[in-house]
Amino acid sequence: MRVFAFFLLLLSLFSFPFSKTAGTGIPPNESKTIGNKLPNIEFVSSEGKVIKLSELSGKPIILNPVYTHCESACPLMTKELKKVIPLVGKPGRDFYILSLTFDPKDTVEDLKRFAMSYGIGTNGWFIVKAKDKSQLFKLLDAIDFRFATLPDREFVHPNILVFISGNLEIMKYLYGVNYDPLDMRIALSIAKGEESFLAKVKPYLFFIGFLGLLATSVFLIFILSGKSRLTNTLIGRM
Amino acid sequence: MDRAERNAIFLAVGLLAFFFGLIVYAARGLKIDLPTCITDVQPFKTGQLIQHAPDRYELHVVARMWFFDMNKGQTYVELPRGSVVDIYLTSADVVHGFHINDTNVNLMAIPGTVNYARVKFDNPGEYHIVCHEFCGIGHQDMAAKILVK
Repeated sequence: MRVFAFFLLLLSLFSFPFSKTAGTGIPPNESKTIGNKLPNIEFVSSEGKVIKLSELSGKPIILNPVYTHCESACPLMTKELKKVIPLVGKPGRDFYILSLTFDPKDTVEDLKRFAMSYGIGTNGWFIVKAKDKSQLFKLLDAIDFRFATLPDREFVHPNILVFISGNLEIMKYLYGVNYDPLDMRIALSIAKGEESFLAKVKPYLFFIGFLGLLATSVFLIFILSGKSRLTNTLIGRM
Repeated sequence: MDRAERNAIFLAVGLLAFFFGLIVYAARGLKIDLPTCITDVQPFKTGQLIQHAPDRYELHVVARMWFFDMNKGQTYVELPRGSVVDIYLTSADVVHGFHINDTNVNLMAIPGTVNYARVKFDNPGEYHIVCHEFCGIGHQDMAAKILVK
């Protein structure tokens, strides 16, 4: 019985990460994008204004790729952002939010409709499209955002928030359609450049562990081989 | 422990470390993308070529016994030079292979799932595609073509 329960637990652990990423396409490869600078492209906002990305520099930017006629994840993300943002700061004062449509066929009218239906698009929250298609894909490549086309202008795409620093570098990704205020605060502080010690050493932890594993296995082989002088001294003293 | 046995263990650990190093190099140094299998979408039924931008394409390929549906039943597509193509591949019946010559695109078409790779065609020419997974009596005739101009 105990063995059975153990295997059930093991099975549930295996199924967890897969169930979490249902229907979200190809995730961005963070190891290739974090720290890169975004291309300085031009956007057109829902108000019809042309915004250059560099005009928004100086404050962190939360970039949320969506498409305006989405009926599943994008409304969820937008509603959730609307709920969580007041808990972490004021857009326009502390940071900017860019809801970027990645559908190359979206027009400014679509952006307007999207902004109206959620009551957003003012005070530092911009609903934007790229000015032209080649600029759009420059930006999507920079954040490694990939989408697949489905029939009826629907798309399969990862649900992400990208946190961009004041000097337009990619700092952090958040995934999913639900955002914890604490996660948002941490991500924003990373985007502001206030990196914690743990986050700094994190990339090296794996290699330290790997070196440890190698050293341990070499050491064990020495011990087990039983012929080296080291073994005699070590075992002799133990 | 016997000397030969110790040598064997050393060799095995050394090789493991060497190949692991190669994997890290391929991912970080050469920036090689691995094919990604998408299992959580409903696979498409027909092949099509979708153009998003002047040099950005999405190619949906359906492999079936015994041809590749590249674009509404055609077994070839034409692309301009320098195009970046997102290739999505699925199968309508059995497991097929999908290898584009002169590129590192090497995918498996598995019914019920979608396989993905991105490729950039820098050089003009004919890129032949073959099925390299035995799929039945017409397997040897299963081929397609990408023309890059």
